[in-house]
Amino acid sequence: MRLDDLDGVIRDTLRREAAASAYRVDGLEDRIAATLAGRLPKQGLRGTARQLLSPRRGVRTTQLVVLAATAACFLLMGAVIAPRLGFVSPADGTTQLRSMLDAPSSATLFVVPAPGAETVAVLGNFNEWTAMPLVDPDDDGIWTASLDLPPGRYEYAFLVDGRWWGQDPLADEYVRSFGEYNSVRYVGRPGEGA
Amino acid sequence: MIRKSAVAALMLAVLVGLLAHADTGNEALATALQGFNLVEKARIEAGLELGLDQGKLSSEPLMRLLELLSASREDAQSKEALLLVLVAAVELELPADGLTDKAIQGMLRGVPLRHITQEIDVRRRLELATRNLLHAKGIFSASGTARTAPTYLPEPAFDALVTHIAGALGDVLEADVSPFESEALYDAVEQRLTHLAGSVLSPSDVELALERIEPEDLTQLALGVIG
Repeated sequence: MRLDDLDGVIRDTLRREAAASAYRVDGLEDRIAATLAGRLPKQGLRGTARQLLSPRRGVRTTQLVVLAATAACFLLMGAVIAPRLGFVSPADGTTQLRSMLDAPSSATLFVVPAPGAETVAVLGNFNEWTAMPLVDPDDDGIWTASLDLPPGRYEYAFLVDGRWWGQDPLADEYVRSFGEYNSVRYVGRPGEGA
Repeated sequence: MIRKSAVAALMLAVLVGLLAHADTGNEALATALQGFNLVEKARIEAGLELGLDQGKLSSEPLMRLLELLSASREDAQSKEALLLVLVAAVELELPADGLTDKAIQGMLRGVPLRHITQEIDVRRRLELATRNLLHAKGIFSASGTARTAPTYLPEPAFDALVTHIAGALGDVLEADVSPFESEALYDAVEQRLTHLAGSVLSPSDVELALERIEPEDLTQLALGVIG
């Protein structure tokens, strides 16, 4: 047999053997992947973070974008919405917030949104209608004062740059007195802190 | 021995302090009234002092009102008329802090004294009519601070009930609610008393009053006062 014929015989033999064992190779990749997946430890938060921070690209890029968007939402809520709810911004207002939180639990909080106002004061039957100034240390336009009032019914109003403002949204009710509105708060109701 | 002397000295100091405080209060009142040029000065001074002593008037609001009256440019007669409404309330043993508060509010808003006097006199008559209504319903004030029976309230509790029922009625009438709107009057009283139950009013006193007072009673009361 010549060398060229031998080469052809070997090639034919190998083709036949490969065709005979092909069924064993078919789906082998999927079977290996399933077996490995069953043996892999659970990834957990640390694993997820490592995966996200790994230099590989692809699906992880999308995950990072979602994560960044969520963080941005939280930051936006903290920076924009919280001050409008009467909380102070983190800069100079920290002292103010701390003083509010340190105030006795029975303290009644007065809050006036008055951006641009020069002076804001509260007056009522708890102080013989003497103007008591509110403060806005961080200049965000939210003026506050905290008073420790004994249980009772209190009529009050705010003076914003000297103008009477008697309709506090935080009031329990309103009354008319000599043609102007007064706000009313009930302090010390059962089950209520202030 | 030394301890007994120390205790006695302490008690004496407290007593002197209390007397000095009382004198200071009366002196401050006399001083505040000096510049008013009052015709019935003796009656007004005695009445206000009595109110302070009996707890019908509180010192700080009264002094604030006198300060505002003193600074007012209105005539002496108008100032005296206003003070006489307070004195009349005290003489009838009615709680007068609500009247003082109302007068302060009026003065701060620059309301003419004549108008303020009319308004607080309506409030005084509402208090009187409220007390009469409570009496008619079998609810009384026991002298002192002890409760002698379920319907005999301690004096401060009875006064608080009178103040808040009359105050609620005064507010709705000032807001132009008709005296004939019995349910509206009753709702205002009920809301006020319910808010205060458990804090400045006893829940049982509130329940007692609301149980015995009918909406029509309040219409009769209001009509009797404002006609």
